[in-house]
Formats: sequence, C-alpha cells, structure tokens
Amino acid sequence: MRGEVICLGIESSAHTFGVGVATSSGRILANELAVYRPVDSGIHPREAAQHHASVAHEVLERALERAGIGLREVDAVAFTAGPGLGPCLRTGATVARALAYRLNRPLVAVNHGVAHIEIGRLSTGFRDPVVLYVAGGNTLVTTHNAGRYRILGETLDIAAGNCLDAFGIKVGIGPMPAPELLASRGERYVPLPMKVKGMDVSFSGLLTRALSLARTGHRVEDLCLSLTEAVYSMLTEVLERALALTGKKEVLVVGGLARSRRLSEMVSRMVGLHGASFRQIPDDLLGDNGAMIAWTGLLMYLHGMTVPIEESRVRPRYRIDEVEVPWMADPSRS
Amino acid sequence: MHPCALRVRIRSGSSDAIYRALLPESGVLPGQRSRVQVSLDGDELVLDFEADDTVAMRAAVNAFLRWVSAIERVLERASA
Repeated sequence: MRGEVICLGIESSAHTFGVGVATSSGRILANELAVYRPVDSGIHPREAAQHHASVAHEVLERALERAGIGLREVDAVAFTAGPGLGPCLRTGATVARALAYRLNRPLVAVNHGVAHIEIGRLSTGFRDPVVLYVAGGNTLVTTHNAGRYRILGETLDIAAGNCLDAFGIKVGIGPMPAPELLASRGERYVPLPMKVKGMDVSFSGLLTRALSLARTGHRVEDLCLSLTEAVYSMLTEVLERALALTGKKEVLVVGGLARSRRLSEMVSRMVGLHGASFRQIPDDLLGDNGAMIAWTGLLMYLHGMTVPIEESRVRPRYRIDEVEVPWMADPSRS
Repeated sequence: MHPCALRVRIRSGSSDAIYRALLPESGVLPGQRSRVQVSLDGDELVLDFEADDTVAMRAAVNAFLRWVSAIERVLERASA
C-alpha cells in the first residue's frame, strides 16, 4: 500500500450510516454500514440521527479492521455534506470533523449524488455515461458536460423511491423491496396516470391514484405490478430522451432503486435499441454507502478540493450541478 | 425565549476536537426553532442554547449531547 493515497469516507445522509476506505489505485478496502429502517413509517430524521450517533464508532471500527489499516494511515477524511436529512448529515459531519482535527488531516465535503455516480463509474469502468439517479429521496437524469454533472431532468414532486416506499407503507406491505416482490405475483395491469414532461417526471398523482384504487378492492399484487411498471416506464422514457439527446454510449442507473431487477431489465432493453451499453453496478455499491464517499473524497482531495473545518457546514439541499468535477476530462475537448 | 447553558466537562482529552467539530453547528439548527453558541473553557465545552419552546430546547440539547458522545467514542478508537 506504499505510495497509495488513502481516503476514509463517512456517509450519513438518511437511513444509512456507512464508513468506507478507498485508495488512489481505485481499490475499495472497506465498505461497512448500519441501516436504520422502520417498516411501518418513513424515516424520522431525529431517530435516524440518534441511530447513527450510537453506531458510528462500531461501523468505523469494522471498516478499519476490514481495510487492515490504522487511522494514522488515512490521508484525508471525507463526509457527505448533502443532500439529505439535516440531523442525519450533521451526525456524520461532526464525527468527520473531529477525526480530521485529531488526525491533522484535510477534510473533504462530498456531494451524495456525485458520489453515487463516481462509484458507478469506478465499478463499471464507464467513462462518460448518461446516468439515472433513482433513490428514496432523489430522482434525476444527469450527464457530465462543461465541467459538471448537469441535471437534464428530475422529479417535479416526489422521488420514485419515495413513491414506491410510501405506497408500500400505506397499504401495509412495507417499503421497497416489498412492492416489487409482490408485483411478481400481480396478474392484471391497472392503467395509472403517467406524467412525463420533457425529461421531468411527476409521481405524486400516480401515488394518489394507486392508493385510492387500493381502497376500492383491487388486489394489492396487481397494484404493485401496475405501479412499478408505471414508475419504471416513466424513468426509462426520460432516460431514453437523455440518451438520444446526448448521443452518448454508456448508461448507468445509480441509487437504491437501481437494485430493481425490473428497472434494470427495461433500461437494458432500451439502451440496446440505441446501440449503447448498460452495466449493472454491484448491489453493495448501489445503496447509500461509505465507499462511494471515500472514493469521491479521494478524487476531490487529489484535486485540492478540501474544506477548512470551520467552513464545513452541511447542505441538505446540495444539488449535483453545484459541484465542480475536474477529474473528468471534458469529452467535448478530447 | 428559553435559554439553557450546558457546561460539559470532557475528561477524555478530546475537548478541543469536540469543540472544533461542533463549532460549524453554531448559530442555526434544523427547523430554526433553536440556536446554539459553542465555546471552550479549558476542558469544559460550553453550549449556550436558546429555543422558541421547551420541545425545541430538548431536541437541540439531545442532538448536541449525542454528537459529543459519538465523537468521544470515535476518538477513543483514534487513540488506540
């Protein structure tokens, strides 16, 4: 490991507290996490933050053991600055600051969405993909252009993951993956209102309709099938528009909802029709995790993008297009 | 307005690291129903809270004390 730069990454934007270790040769030495996930309600930010505070030291311990390093070998400490839930972000941020100060190492403030993209690129080898980022709290289509990840399209109201989780919780089957598992037992597709505007999508009307149909006696399996097909079709459609517009040749789906086999199948078929390539990211790097923060932190550190501790406030509404991405050579210039 | 001052004696030798870690959280807290000023007096961390109501006060105090506890346990590992 001599000669390699090592970055420790801490993720705590929502339900997951994760610690990862990444090296400058692109190796992930550790990716440990603990998840707070109530099955009968959404995430309560303060309770999730309480969970993160209580498990932080043990997740860190596991990550260091797995990586086979001591804290003294860490060259930089990275944390999720945003977007996410304020109390949760602050828990990871305060721990990261304390570590950076005690170890006298630079601190790196990472954007959670950019991290999902970068770990996707690292794990698949894709250089310049069009990316669909779909998770509980985020839904957007993005690609790199003129130095940043630009938002080509996004949800106009709630995230796709939020839509499916909320449906599952309200009908009593729990959040994802329950709706997708029950969808495989659906027998009938019930038409639902799909709202796609350009490359933007809207899910709240869809959710309202699905819930009202659940109250009028439709089989929940049929509604799960209908809702997942509707959501995934909408996402595939906006991704297709972005792919056609940009003419790029690589496609990734990142974020927790990318674990959906059905969504991957739809995207894969669509991508094939355009003569482009789609690669599935490994499951353990798709959900929220510390390894992606460590890797992205490393890229930023190597480009001098560190932050003084006193200027490291969290940013719950941090957008991916606010981040300079100098480590990607601008394809239009190559 | 409900003011509340906490002085927490940090015995583990981590008072400076805890202070630096919490300082960026000064001024404003989630929901903006409370505010805090963080300062250091030797090995005592001083947290001066102000809140619009006692519910917000309790939430702010709980949040900060949890972070102090999390940081202490993490830094124990850093000394090991």
